[in-house]
Amino acid sequence: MDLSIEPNLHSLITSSTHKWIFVGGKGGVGKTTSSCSIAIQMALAQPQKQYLLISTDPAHNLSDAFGEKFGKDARKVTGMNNLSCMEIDPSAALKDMNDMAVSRSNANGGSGESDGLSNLLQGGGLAELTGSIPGIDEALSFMEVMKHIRNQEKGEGESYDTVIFDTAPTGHTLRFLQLPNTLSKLLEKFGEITGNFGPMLNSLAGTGNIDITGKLNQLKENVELIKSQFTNPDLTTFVCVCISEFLSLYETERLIQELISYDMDVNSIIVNQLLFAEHDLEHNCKRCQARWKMQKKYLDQIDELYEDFHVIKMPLCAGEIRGLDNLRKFSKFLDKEYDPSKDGEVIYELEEKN
Amino acid sequence: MAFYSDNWVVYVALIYLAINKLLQYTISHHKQWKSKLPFPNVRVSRQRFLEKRHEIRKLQIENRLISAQDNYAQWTKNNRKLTKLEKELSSIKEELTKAVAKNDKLLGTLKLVVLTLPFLALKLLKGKHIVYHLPKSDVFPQLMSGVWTKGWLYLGLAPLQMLRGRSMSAVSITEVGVSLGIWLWALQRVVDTIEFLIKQLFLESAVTRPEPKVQEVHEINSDKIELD
Repeated sequence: MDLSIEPNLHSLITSSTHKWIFVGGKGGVGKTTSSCSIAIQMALAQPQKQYLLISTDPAHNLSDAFGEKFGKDARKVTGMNNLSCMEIDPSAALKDMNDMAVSRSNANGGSGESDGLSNLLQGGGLAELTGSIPGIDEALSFMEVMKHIRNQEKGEGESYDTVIFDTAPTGHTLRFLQLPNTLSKLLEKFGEITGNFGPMLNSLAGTGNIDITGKLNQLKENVELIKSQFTNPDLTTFVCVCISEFLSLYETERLIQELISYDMDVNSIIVNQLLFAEHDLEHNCKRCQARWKMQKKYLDQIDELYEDFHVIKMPLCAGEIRGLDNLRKFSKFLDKEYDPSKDGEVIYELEEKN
Repeated sequence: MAFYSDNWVVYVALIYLAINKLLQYTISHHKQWKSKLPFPNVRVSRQRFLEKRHEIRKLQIENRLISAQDNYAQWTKNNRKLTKLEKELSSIKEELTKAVAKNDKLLGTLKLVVLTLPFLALKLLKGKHIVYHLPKSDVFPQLMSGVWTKGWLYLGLAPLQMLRGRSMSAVSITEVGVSLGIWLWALQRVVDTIEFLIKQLFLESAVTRPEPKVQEVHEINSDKIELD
């Protein structure tokens, strides 16, 4: 039995268990191209399943990548039956939700009917808290995203087997996974305080006001539910995207360590924009060679550091990888690794289509 | 004034008192002394703590000497090790704090059992033990000693005694003894007062007299008003 790790994402692309796939990394490393490529390859490999690609990056570029407009409601990619895309800004959605909760609360004199997240926000009262508890902002945003996916599934009448997240490059995307621990500590302190000053706090808060402990308990339960799925390596994985440069590698290492601290499965790194200069005899130049030499130096370091990871080496193409056809061509190197001596032509084929 | 020098109760009480005072005076050094006590749990944890800290410093120096860009893998491996070691160090630190707290509690219990409780028991059981008796006649005036021991009746009967030609001193005056409880209390008060005086006179720095504040006096010398 061969136990060596393949330098491709074939096992993920053909996986029948994964429900959540996160693609993340710093800005400008090709996250969107990589997430689109993974989504396309999965959709092609398993046509009987439905896939949803979500961009949670406020600077959306799924529309640009596919060359068609996507919005906050899921829409199928033209030319693909089983891949839908949507672009949502979780923090903006959360803000809208909060504003709505405030207005509803004002309109109903604080006794309006509310459900789910809006109930949690309770008249915008918890907005004050979101800035002060690490991870709570992300948790609320993420719950809003999950709720949106559920609503989409209800509306479309079909459920998604796998959801691929093109995450924002802000880091801390999954910081909320440590929220149950933070909330446990916080609730413990709250318990102590309310035990001592409960009646005084109640009189200060006034009747019908925020039941903070109850709301935080509810939030903790919700987050724990999500966490149980996200920390299951059969259901969820994180794909890191980087380029072969010092700062990008440094940030990737930090991201990996952070994800490991959240007990998340992370075992794939896509290294983008590689020059493979020695095989590119036709268009070879000194600058490309020098740059490739530097990239190779960092690739060696990556191989040494991430022995047990799928390290996928992707080429730098002559033009922007946009449109379904170009993405299809490029994405196949995720399933079967790029061989510069055989597949070199693709780099310029893409350029011709732009 | 008779002092029963062969009384062991007094000597034991004095020893307890001296130990208590000694502990009180040396309170600022207790932490240091406790750290030198050979508790096995603290010794092991402290050894591990020092080893880990040394290891961390060594790695930090090594990482500072290598170029992160040229030896990225080595540098990152060192950073991973550092993170791991720092976590271990903080858990050892926690362990150490717990061990010290446990030992502090143990020492506290020891002090309670060896010093506080026996001293309290001594005071309770032997509190009424007479340390010495006050002299019968020469401490207070005769009249006062008589009233003290016999009550006001002694004063009322005094003229009768004189008429009968009896001396006032002929009346038997009961012996007045000083108990251990009172004696210890008085002794402690004397020691505390001496301590206070020494502290105030020699050890505390003198408080400087505050400068009197000169208040500015605003006087209206002119009734002219400037117009804009």
